[in-house]
Amino acid sequence: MIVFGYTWALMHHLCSGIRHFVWDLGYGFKANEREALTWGALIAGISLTVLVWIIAYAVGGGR
Amino acid sequence: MSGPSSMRTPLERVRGLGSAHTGTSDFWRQRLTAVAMTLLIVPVIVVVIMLIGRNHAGAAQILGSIPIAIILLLFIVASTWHMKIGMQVVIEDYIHNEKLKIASVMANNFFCVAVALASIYAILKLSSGV
Repeated sequence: MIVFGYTWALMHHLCSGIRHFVWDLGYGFKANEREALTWGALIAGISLTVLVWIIAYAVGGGR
Repeated sequence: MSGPSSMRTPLERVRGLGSAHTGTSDFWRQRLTAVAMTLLIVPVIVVVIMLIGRNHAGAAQILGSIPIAIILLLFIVASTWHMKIGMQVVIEDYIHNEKLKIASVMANNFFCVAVALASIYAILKLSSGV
């Protein structure tokens, strides 16, 4: 449970970090783009966390 | 410091300054380590999933692979460095007592170096099969 939460923290940090790369490159500064990037980072972070755990159970669950 | 009537240009006045007095080097390193980890995260997750449920001998065998050990070592260096800079920025921004700030930055440095060295030692120990 704790490791699941930590995975989410890392994945959310990763996705928000990619959002900051986009801003560093000079894109996505309009209000609707900022909203979309922020929601996108939140949803992508949750999705990646669930995906990683599904793969981890599928591959390593039987060991 | 130069007052409003100084002949120094605004650029010259801010050069090498900022709250940490180290200019933009932390800004650059934070992005450097971030890009490094963005590239490394997929292989690192693959390795971690490979390690799930293995015993000591199995883990030592996987980490005995040179590219796998190098990928994990690179990730450790990038992540602990990134973590050190990130925490230091928070400390510098939010702790206003100068002595407490310096003590906190120092403790943060000690902690991050200790985490980095402990992790590197563990990887090297396992990858040499001990």
